[in-house]
Amino acid sequence: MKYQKSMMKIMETLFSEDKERIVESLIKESRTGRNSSFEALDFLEKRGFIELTKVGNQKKVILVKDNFSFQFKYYLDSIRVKELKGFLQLLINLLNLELSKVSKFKYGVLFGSVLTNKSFNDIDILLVGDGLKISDLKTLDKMRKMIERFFGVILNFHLGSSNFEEVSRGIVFYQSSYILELSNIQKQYLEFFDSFCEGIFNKNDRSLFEISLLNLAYVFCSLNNFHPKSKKEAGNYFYKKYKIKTFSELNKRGIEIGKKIFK
Amino acid sequence: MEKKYLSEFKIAREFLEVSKINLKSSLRTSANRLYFAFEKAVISYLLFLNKKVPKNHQKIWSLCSEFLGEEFYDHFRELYDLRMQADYGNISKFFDLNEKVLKNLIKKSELFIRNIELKMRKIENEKREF
Repeated sequence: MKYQKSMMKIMETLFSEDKERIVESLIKESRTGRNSSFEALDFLEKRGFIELTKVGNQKKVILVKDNFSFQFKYYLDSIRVKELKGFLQLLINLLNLELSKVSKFKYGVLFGSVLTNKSFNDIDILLVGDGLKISDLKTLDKMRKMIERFFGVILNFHLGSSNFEEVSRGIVFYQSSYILELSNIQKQYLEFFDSFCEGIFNKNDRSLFEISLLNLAYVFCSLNNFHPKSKKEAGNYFYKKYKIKTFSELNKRGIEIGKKIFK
Repeated sequence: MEKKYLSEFKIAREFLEVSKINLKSSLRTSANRLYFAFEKAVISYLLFLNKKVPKNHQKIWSLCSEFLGEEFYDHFRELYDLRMQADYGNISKFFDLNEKVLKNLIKKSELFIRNIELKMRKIENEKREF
């Protein structure tokens, strides 16, 4: 297939803001070459991804909003998700596991200050589906609390109807059709995450601290291709690198290691 | 000069009253003031313990859970949801913003704030006796 680069840049521009554009300004905005752009526009028009209409001597470009053209958006969003900095990818992966339990949630869309500001306190998440109710959010209550406590952020959930306008409000990071298959190390990490949060909710319970420390130690061993024969061996291997005594230290290291596992 | 934690606690009481007064006339104002009443009371307690008060809401909630208990954290979260609805519209809707819900949360907040006051008094008395 020809003109792929220009085609992607053009589609990226069209999805960046929902507005009508003249061909000339679209090419300028997309920073694509003239010849390849015209060929790409022709390609897209013939296949029904865009419509070109005459306005005087110029041509207007309109994005055709359907499930096939939106595959471009989901592809571009997948790249943006993978480019998210810091702990966000880890957070999204943990959240996706929970969203997948509620079939009514069709899409998860990340929007707001998290996409524009380096420092943000709130993370705005739009959940898109048909006939979503407040009661559907109740199922996320525990995970929301776990994520907020673990990452020190606030999650604001918004509900939206299933339409193209809603999924265009930000980056789509979840779709109900996703296959959520976890590797062994990811499963081990989830055990750490669960036990850590239980520990926090139970007033920093020391036995849960020990359990979550050990879980994280096993994760760390796997991450470094070390296969301990006993709990003690796993603990010692971890202890050589990290000397953790408090929940707060464990939290910090947990995020650091988790980022490597869910990247 | 009045101690900082006492002035914060006074503001907490003032906001709580404003929240109660506005319950019939403006649910939004009432929900907004109720959140800040509770936050001020928690900040007062943290200052009383000589803790550094973070600017970030979530970090205040976490400290609150550490020094006051998990139920205080949960209450904070409920109030925040209502405040977000009151200030920014239909978001983070884990509860409906209505008079009944708000009335219950005002009662609950009063109890929690009273609890904070008692905790501070108890610690002060223990210090004096010591």
